[in-house]
Amino acid sequence: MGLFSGALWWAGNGLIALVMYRGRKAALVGKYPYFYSYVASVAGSQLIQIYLSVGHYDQAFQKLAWWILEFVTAVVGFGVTWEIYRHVLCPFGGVRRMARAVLASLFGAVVGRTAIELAGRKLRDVFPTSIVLEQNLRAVQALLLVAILGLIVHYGLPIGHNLWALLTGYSFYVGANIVSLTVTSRWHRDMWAIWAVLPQIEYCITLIVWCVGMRAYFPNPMPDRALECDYEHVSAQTARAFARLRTHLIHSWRI
Amino acid sequence: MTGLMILIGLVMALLLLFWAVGRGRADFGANRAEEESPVRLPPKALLGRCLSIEDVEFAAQLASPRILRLLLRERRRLALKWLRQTRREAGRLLRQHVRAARHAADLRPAAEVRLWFHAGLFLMVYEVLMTAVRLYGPFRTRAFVRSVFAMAGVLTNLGDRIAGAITAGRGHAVREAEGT
Repeated sequence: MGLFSGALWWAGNGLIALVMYRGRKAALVGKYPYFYSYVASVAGSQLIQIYLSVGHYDQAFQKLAWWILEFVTAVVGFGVTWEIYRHVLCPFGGVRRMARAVLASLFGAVVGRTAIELAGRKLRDVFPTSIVLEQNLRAVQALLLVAILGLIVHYGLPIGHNLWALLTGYSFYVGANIVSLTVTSRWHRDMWAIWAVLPQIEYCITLIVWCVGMRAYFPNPMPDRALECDYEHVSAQTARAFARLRTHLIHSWRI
Repeated sequence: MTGLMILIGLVMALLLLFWAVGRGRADFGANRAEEESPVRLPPKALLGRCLSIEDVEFAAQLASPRILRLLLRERRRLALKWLRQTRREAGRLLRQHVRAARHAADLRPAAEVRLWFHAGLFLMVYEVLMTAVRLYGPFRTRAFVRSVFAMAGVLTNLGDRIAGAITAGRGHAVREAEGT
């Protein structure tokens, strides 16, 4: 397990360096600044961890530093979600408005649920443990990703190769991270050895997806402006057509 | 429980992703022309002919249970096909709307939600009819729909009469109060 884990660690570092190198070479950093900030923050956290491990700091301090770095990268990770939203929805003003409504309802639901869950608890019990906090942050990110995925699928929004890589890689990473964090938070004492390798594998798979997808600049397909329509008219027509369709469906069986 | 929910969410996300890939491909495929043609509803008369009671009576007169069974099975198959065709046209209508709406700068979320509601209502009616046809056959389903409509009519009449009686009672009470 130690050798495999070490190999994964080195592979991860190599891959992250490759992502950053390709980003600089293909001039992608300026086009996807939030994504590369995230990649840089992950690389920075790796460097700090290396420094701490060779600097003979005590275990408790290293663990604390590790959790802080994990938390910071999880927060910076919201930038990746923002990058995806920004690029996918930029040419579609109407869908952007829809996304805003969906996200507002999602946040409302999350805040409402949290308020109900925390009601009546003592103040010291309100603050979650670092693992639970990271898990919750990842869960919110997963919700945001599912929302954007739903919008892409529903409206058939065209997306370029770069964004596919961002979306697929990050969705996989966040999803897999939530699962491993949930498992770790429940059975951390007995199964830590097995589950310690899993995040590394997830991390490497994500980086491979990013290496392949972000090797060059692939712009997002731009929509045809000539296809713009009077939404009010189209929407009213579709609603009428659906009502007619329902009546047709029911009344055909009455004859 | 949390883990299970997360797994379900992940599976859903992956399914969405695969669907998105498939849909993206279909969007630029040969089906495009067919997708954009106007919505064509399967004619009511076709279902009427399919549910013709004369055919059943004729088959019953032959006193051959096999022929009657065959006829009923065929009619069930045809009725299901008619329902599926209507469902396909509804799907096409929704896709046409979505293709037009994604380019609209003035898209209104409330109107979109209302459309989803309409589509959901249609799907619900469709599923009820599909289940009824599958379980009880098209003839009993038609009888069921007719009885539902008859009951709805009776309830509407009853509601109207109750509302009328209440209004009349109120008017009477007001007149009495004014009289005193």
